[in-house]
Amino acid sequence: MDFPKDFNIVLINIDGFRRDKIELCSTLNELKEQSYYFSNICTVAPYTFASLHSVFSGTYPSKNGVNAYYNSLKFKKNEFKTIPELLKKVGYYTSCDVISKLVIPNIGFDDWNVFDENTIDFNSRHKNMITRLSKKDKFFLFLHYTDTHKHLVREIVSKYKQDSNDDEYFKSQKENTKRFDSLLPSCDEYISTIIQTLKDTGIYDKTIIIFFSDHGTSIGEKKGEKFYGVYVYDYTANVFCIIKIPNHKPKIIKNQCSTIDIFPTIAEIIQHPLENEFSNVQGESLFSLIDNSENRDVFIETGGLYGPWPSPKKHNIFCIRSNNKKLIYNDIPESWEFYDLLNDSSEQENIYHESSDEIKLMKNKLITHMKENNIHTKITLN
Amino acid sequence: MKPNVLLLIIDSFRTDKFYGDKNISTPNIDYLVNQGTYFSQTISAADATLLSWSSIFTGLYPFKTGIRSSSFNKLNSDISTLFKIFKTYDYNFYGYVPKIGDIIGLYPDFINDDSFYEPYKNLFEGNGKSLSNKIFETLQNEAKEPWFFFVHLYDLHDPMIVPKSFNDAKFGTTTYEKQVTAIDNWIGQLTKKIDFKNTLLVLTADHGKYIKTLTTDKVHNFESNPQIQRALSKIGSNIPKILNPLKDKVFLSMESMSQKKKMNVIEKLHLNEHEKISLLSGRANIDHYLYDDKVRIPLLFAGYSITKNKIISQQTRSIDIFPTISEITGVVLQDDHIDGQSLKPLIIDKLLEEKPAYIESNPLVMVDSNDVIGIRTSFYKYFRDVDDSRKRIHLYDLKNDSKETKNLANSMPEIVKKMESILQEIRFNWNPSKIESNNEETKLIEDELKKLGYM
Repeated sequence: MDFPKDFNIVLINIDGFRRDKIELCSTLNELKEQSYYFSNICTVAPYTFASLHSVFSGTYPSKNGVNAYYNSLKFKKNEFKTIPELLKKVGYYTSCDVISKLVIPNIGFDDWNVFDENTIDFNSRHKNMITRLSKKDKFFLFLHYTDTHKHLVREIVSKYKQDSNDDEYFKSQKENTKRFDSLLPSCDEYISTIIQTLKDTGIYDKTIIIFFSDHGTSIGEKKGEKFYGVYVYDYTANVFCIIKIPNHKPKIIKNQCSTIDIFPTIAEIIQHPLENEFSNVQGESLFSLIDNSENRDVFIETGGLYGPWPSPKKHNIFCIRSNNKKLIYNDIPESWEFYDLLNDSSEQENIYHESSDEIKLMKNKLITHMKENNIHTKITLN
Repeated sequence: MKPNVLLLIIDSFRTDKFYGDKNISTPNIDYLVNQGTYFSQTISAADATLLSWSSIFTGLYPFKTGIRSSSFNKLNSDISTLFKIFKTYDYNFYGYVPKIGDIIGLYPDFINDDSFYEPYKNLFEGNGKSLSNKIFETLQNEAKEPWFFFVHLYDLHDPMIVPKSFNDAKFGTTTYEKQVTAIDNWIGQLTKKIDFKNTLLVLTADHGKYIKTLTTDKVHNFESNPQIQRALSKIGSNIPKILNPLKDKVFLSMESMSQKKKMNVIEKLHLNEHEKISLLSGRANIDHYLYDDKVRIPLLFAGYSITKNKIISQQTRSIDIFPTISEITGVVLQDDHIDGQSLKPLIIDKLLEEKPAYIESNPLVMVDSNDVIGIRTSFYKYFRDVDDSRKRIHLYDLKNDSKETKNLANSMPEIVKKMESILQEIRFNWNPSKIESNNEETKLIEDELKKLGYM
């Protein structure tokens, strides 16, 4: 595949954006139709801190150290390199704007910015940043859009009790959906502002734009999870990734893949091999999926701040998603779940059965993955 | 397939009696040293079993584990142990451990259901099957691979009953030496049953021991009669709990009488402090010390991927055993808070920084004891009162005074100061929350979570 040389790269995370809402955002939807759209990409951890460290390092949480809310500062920077480190090495000016110093490793940036969620005007702040950077020869910019998070989390926290047994939220899916959807127009307006700013500053045609979400968000599908990070069900595991490369034909790629593939994808765009200090990346470039039918197994892990078995200091839920099936292991309370995602996309019917060969195979894959990533649990290989 | 691991801890085995003592014949241990890598200067973190176990199986200094011998506390549940981590690698656990190990939360559910044996039971004793036979049978017939087999032997612990066939002067001058010869013989039998290609053998001790025999122009034996000790112990264990205070009182007064008798003899012998302490040592002594007799232990690795015929004299520590076994077997340790370090580099001829060894004495259960904490390097041994750095200060120059006879604390204040600063760093600059994350980091994360509306 031919990639333009020395184009700017703008990577934007729409925090907590549900994949099934893209069609409700006209600008995002339009962008999707002009780009590579990865429609079956999953996060490897359904909450921001672990998810973004995985994106930035191309590694699973348990490998890179950020495998719990309380391990957010434990990124193994000597073992794993990050996207800005790679880009800086090849001459990019690297910049970012994030909600918290905990969400990504503060490594490799020439310009590191943390915004105040209470006062930020995303549109004007990020417009100014792009305008300023447009004068650089080539730059990498990571933007963190968290408006959805801000309104959603605060409204729900103020309205409902934190108690996971509180039924009211989970009985109000219509209201919850409405609340989520009400935030979409401002999100779409933000995306529109970014595109327009790139055009106004004359760099749209020499900028690669990547939009993605770090995790989805609950609207009350499963009791115990009001936002994300508690479980690994598809409403938080499914995310999206849109890669717009000037002069590349749009394409929808339906193959299953994961967010740890974004780092190697960027490496392929700049034609830099992932070797030496970058050889620990676990993901693979998304472009190699374009012309084949390969579906990559995806492993997801989490440990909730709340919910029925909170575990903010250590991930306690692990999952493999493979061939439209999902096997989940809950280390607390040592239970298994298995779902047929084609026939039961909302994961309602747990059809786990010890003696199923298919489950055994997936279990072996999951345990192998856990071992390779130094995850210690109570389960053992049969 | 991972290699099998056989970890053999022989209670109270001193380094000087394990290898290189010309007075004792230990051909089987010598053979293993020849077939493996032997660390001749390994220091246990504690001078008694529970604290020593706690550090061997966690790689942490004993005071971080929650197990405090004085109150038989359990291991803190959030600490990773060798067993917890090896379980995730599908290891099958077998074990023979003295019963006291059952209550401290350190050991896994061993597959063999006779894993916790009665205290003071020796290898060849037992109604029906001896402990020795049980170990051999489990090893040969039942063990499902990969296995981790842990055996803790009590044979060198008081009361020491030497098997009849070894209770002869040709096997050594002291009871201890004769018992070492008997154990060596058993090790020879064990060695024949091990497939060294697929098995890592680790042979060590939990702590050392004072040998209460002195040879001048004649042999002065201060050992208690083991048969009487054993009988008293049995009577004691059958006394109802309600009478425990009385039992303790009787025990302490008997010990005191016995000490007085010994003291009368010892005072005529013109001994140094260390020699006196060795001969007078007993379970009721309230003044504790940390001489090498009690903390220097043998450490031998043999079999699976181990360099043969290698003796390493660099100082190493009991807390290094867990990370070393892990690295040799390819088990990855996630916990970067472990105090020990893997010794594999030394086994494969690479350099490894020698670390100071933290040591502590074991508090008594029945009465308050005067305990000590300290630091040992290859050059100096330093220990002092656990609560007051100005009290009971001991400093020994190990290069020139390996028997620790001259306390140099007053004449070498600079060294005392230096050793105390190492001790301070290890023992007192440690914050319990550091095991998970330090306080500052936790607070920072919680502040961010609050800011983001999660908390």
